[in-house]
Amino acid sequence: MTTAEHLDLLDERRARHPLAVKGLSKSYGEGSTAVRVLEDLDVRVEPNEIVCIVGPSGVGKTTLLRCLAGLLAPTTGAVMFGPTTMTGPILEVGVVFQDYSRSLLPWMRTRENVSFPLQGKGMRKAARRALADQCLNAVGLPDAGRKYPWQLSGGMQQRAAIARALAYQSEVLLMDEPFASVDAQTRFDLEDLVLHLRKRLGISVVVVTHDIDEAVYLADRVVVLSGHPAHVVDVVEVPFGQDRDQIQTKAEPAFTEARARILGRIRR
Amino acid sequence: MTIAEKLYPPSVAPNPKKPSGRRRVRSRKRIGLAAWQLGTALLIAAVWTLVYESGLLSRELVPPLWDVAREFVTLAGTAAFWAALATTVSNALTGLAAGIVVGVPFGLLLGISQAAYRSAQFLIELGRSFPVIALLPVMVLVLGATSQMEIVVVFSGVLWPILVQTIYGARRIDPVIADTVRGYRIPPLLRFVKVVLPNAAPFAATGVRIAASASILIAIGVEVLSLTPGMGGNLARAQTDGAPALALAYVVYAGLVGLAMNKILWTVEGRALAWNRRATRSEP
Repeated sequence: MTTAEHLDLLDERRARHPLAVKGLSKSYGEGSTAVRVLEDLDVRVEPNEIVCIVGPSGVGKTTLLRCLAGLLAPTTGAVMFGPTTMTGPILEVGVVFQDYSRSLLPWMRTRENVSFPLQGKGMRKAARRALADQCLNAVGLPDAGRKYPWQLSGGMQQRAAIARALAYQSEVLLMDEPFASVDAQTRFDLEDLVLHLRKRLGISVVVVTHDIDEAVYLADRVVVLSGHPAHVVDVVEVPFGQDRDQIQTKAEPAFTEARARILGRIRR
Repeated sequence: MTIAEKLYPPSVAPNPKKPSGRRRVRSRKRIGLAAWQLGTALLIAAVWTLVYESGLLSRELVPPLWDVAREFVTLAGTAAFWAALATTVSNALTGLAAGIVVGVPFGLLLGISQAAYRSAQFLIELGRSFPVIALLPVMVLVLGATSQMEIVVVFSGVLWPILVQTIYGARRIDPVIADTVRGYRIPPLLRFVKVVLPNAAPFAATGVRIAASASILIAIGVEVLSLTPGMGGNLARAQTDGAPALALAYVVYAGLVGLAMNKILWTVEGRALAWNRRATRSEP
């Protein structure tokens, strides 16, 4: 991907602060009917790190991600961005939802979709446009700016959603099952895009996924959630560094080992 | 529609030159559809003629189809008919315009303010289920059998679909979009202009289309019942004068006016809200 020359405006994206949850619990409902979903979680995402959160479906992965995004308030415990406690969504943390087809606004062209959160920040029109174009370039969509979301394929729409998060000056990208509804080849491309953006921009990424192969391929650390209420049952370090390859990395003995260990923890 | 057409609607087709084979299939389909529609019309005409010839219903009440057709053509040549048509359409459109001017802003307001919606909910439920024709005697008493009265009754009938649809459109924001807007901390004014308004627009447009058909219906209904000048007034007079063929010709014109109104609005809406037609692939 020849995107390096388009990224000058994006250089300040480099993550500076860790994003962490401390003793986080989350319950839905109140009183005797309350359901505890997450129990006493401690997860820390270092700057420039990719952390994947895996676990059986319905375990509360999305709840945790929404807490990290500031979209849900924890019942107890806190979400910390650097030294500050988050009480709502913040500039530095951007979310890419699973349902890309619904998170892009259908009445806006792609470039406007990417740049319109910047309007809320009071950025001028020319600057917004330039930044939006750079971010679309960075995700490999240099020609999509004038198209409407429905003119893009699923993979392209998800790229546009990533571009929007980048444009918003997110140092931390939170992705909820980001590639669950695209075909296998597109999924590999998007995984490599995430690795590329992490390396090039220095951002941190949190990916919630149910796909263990994807988690091991992307992550520096995989956090395994399990149980009711969910708690961290394992944290698996993945030793592949920043440069990975869909074929070679997945053939490494360490890949198979990490995969087997995570699968074992989830099954139990 | 073939799968390829669904994937690539004509204006975004990657290859602008459509293969001629597909066009042939499409035109053949269109001819098939036209044949079916013609067949249905002929069937209705046949049943009508059969009823007339059999004398099942009084021949005074059911005129032969041919008489209706003749009156239909003759009417188009009279100035009185065109004056009546203009009166009816202009009254209906004035009532409709008033309904839009009041219904859309109030709908947006009620849509974005939960408190306003709750306090107005009962009134709206009552208003939309209230038979507007029941207002007629009171209105005739207050305003007389005039165009003003007709406009007021049309307005009180068409306000509700516009209001209810706009409220619905402003309230019904996709949860993923709501999360996105919240996650990106979009300030309230920008949110209203760039998210709530465009989201509500197709719903409001549907409300306006429903209201437009209703406006013609109500206008003619009012004219028939109160003998206010216009197509409805002429229709009612033709009926009392014992000219059922003329009355039926007016009925056919009334139907055509409603149909034309709907078609025009559908086209305007398609132009103005192209993204919505494309994104949802809706059909008329």
